[in-house]
Amino acid sequence: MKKTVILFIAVLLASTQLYGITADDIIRRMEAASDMSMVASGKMGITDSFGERVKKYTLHQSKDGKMLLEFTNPEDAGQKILRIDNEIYLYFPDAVEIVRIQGDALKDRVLGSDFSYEDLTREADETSTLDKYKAVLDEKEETVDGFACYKVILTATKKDVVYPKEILWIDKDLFAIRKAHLFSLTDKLLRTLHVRDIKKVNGKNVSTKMEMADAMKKDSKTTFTIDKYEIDTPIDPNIFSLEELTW
Amino acid sequence: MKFLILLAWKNLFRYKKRTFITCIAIAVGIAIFIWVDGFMMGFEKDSDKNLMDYETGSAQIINKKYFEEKDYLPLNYTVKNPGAILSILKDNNIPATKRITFGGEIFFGEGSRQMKVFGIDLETVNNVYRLDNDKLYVENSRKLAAGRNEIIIGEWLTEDLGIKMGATVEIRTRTKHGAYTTLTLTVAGIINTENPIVNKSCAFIPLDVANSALQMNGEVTDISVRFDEWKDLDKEVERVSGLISADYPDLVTKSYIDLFGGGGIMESKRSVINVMMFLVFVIATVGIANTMLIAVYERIREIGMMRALGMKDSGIRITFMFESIGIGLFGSIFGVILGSLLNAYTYFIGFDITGLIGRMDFGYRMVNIFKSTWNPGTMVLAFIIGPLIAILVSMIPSSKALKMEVTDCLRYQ
Repeated sequence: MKKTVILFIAVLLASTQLYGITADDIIRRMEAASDMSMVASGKMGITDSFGERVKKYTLHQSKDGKMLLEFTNPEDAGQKILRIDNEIYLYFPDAVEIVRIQGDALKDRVLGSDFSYEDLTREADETSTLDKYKAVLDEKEETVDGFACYKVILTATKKDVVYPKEILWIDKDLFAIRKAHLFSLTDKLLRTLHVRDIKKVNGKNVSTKMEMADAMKKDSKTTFTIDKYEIDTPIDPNIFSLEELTW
Repeated sequence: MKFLILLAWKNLFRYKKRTFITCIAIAVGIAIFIWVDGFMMGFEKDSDKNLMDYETGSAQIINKKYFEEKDYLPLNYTVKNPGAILSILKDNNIPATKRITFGGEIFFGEGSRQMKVFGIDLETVNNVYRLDNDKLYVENSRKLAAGRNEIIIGEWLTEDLGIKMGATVEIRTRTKHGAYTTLTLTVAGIINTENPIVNKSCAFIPLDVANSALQMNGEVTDISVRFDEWKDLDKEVERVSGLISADYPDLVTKSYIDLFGGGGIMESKRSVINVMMFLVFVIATVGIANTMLIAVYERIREIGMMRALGMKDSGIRITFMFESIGIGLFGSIFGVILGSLLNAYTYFIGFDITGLIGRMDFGYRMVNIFKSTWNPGTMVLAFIIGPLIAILVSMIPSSKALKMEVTDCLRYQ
C-alpha cells in the first residue's frame, strides 16, 4: 500500500512537470541552460542597404556577465568591446584610446549591425527576465524549423525595458530560444531573432548561428555565427580589465 | 615743411600713370579685403540667424545633464516644471516656448532616415522660432493642430523618401524611460526654410502628441528663449540664468553658441574665417607693397639728383613719406568706395548659391541666397592700413637709396 502511494505521488509530480509547466518555469530553465562561460570565435555578417560586410571576432565571456569581444578582420583588427558590470568600453587601436559608452550613446549600433551596445549590456544584466517582464505561456503549440517550441509572451512590468513586449519561441527539449519577436510600446514588430543552430554541450545551450533582423527595414540583417567554442573553461579574470584592453 | 608737402603733392601728379597704377593696386587690395570680410560676416550672421530661427532660439534653459549629452538628444534629463519657468520668463518680458526635442528614424515605403523631431507648443512656438511665415510652407500645407497625430517635415527629407502631403509616416524612437515606441503620423505640411539642416533632417509635431507618445508626463527637454538681436547675448543669458538658477539648481541656461557644438565648432569655423581673412590681407599687402617698391626703385636716380642739388636726406625721406601717404589715402578712398559698392551688391542682392553648393552640408545653416553684411570696423581698419603699408613699403627703397653714394644713385638702372 505504501509503495502504491509513493508511486502515485511520483507519477503525479512527473505529470505536473510535464503538463503543468508554467511560463516562469520555462524562462528559468532557459536562463539556467545559458548560464556559462565561453571562449569562442566566429563571424558577424552585416547586411544593409550598402550591401554585406563580414566581421571576424573572438569572444571571451565569463559566467558573471563580463565579456570581451575583439574584432580580427583586417579592417577592424584590434577593435575591442569590453563589458564589465553593465558598462561598455571601446578600444580603437588607431586612436590608442579607451572610450566609455554611456547614457544615450548605448543606443548606437555595434559596427553598423542590428545589435546595439545596449543589447550587449542587456545580455549581461544578471537580473532575471522575470524581474522585468510578466511571462504568459501561449497554449497553442508551435514549431520553429521543425522543432516543437513553447510560445512565451513577455509583457514588461517596468517602464525602462528596451522592448516592452517580446514573444519567444523556446525549444521544448533544449529550453533555448529558437525565435524571438521584439515589439515596441505600440505593439509594432521591431526586430526578429532567429536562432538557426543550437549545440547542447554539458547541459548548456550554445547558439552557434543566429540572425537578428530589423523588421521595419527591408534589407537589414545581422548574422552572428560561432565557428569554434569552448564552454566553462577557466578564463583569466584579468582579461576583462581596462589595463588589458589596450594590449 | 610746407615746401616738402607741396613737392610731394606735385610729384603725385607729375607721375600720373604711376600714381594711378599704385592707387589702383591699393584700392583693389582694400576693396577685396572689405568685400571678403563682409561676405564672411554675412555668412556667419545669416547662419547664426537660421540656427536661432529654427533650431535653438537665442538660448535654452535645459537640464545640466542634458547639456552634457545633448548630441544624443536624451529624454531622461528634463525640465520638470516648464509652466513655472515660463511664467517667470513672461513676468520678465522674455519671449519663450517649451519643446520636446528627440531623435528618431522616419519610415516611409521601403526607405528610412535618421532625423530630429521637435515637439512644439503651438501657442508659444512663434515667440521664439519663425515657423509662422506662410511662404515657408509648400502648397497645400496646413498648420499643426494640438492633439492631432500630424507632422510637418523638411522638404528635402520628403523628396529623399518620396513622401507626399497627406501620407502616413512612422517614426521609431524611444520613450523617456528608454523603451522603443513608434508614432504613426499624417503629413500635414512640408516646410522649406533657409536652414538646410531643417530641410534635410527635421520635423515638427504638436507638443502634446510628443508628450503622450514619449511618456514625458508634462516634462520638456528645453525652454527656448529669444533675445533682441542688438542685445548682448552673454549678458542676456546671465540675466535668464539669474532668474532661474536659485529655484532650479538642476537647470542651466545656455546660449545658441554653447548649444551648437559647445562653441568648439563655432570657434574652429571662426578660425577658418580668420585664416582666410589673413590670407586676403597678405595678398592685398603684397600687391600694394610690390607696386610701391617698383614706384620707389624707379626713382632712385631722382633721389640721387635731389641729393646732388643739396637736398637733405631727412627732407627726401619726408617727401617720400608724404607721397606715400597721398597714394595710400587715394588708394584707400577708392578701395573703400569700390569695396562698399561690391559689398552693397552682395548686401542688397546677394549670390544665389543653390547651384554652387546644392544640398552639401558644410556646417553652416545657409541655403539659397548668400548675402553679406556691413562691417564698419573693417572699413576703418582698411582705410588706415592703406596709407600705413604705403609708408612702410616706401621707406625701405628710399632708405636704401639714401645710403648709396650720390654717383651710384645717379647711375642706378
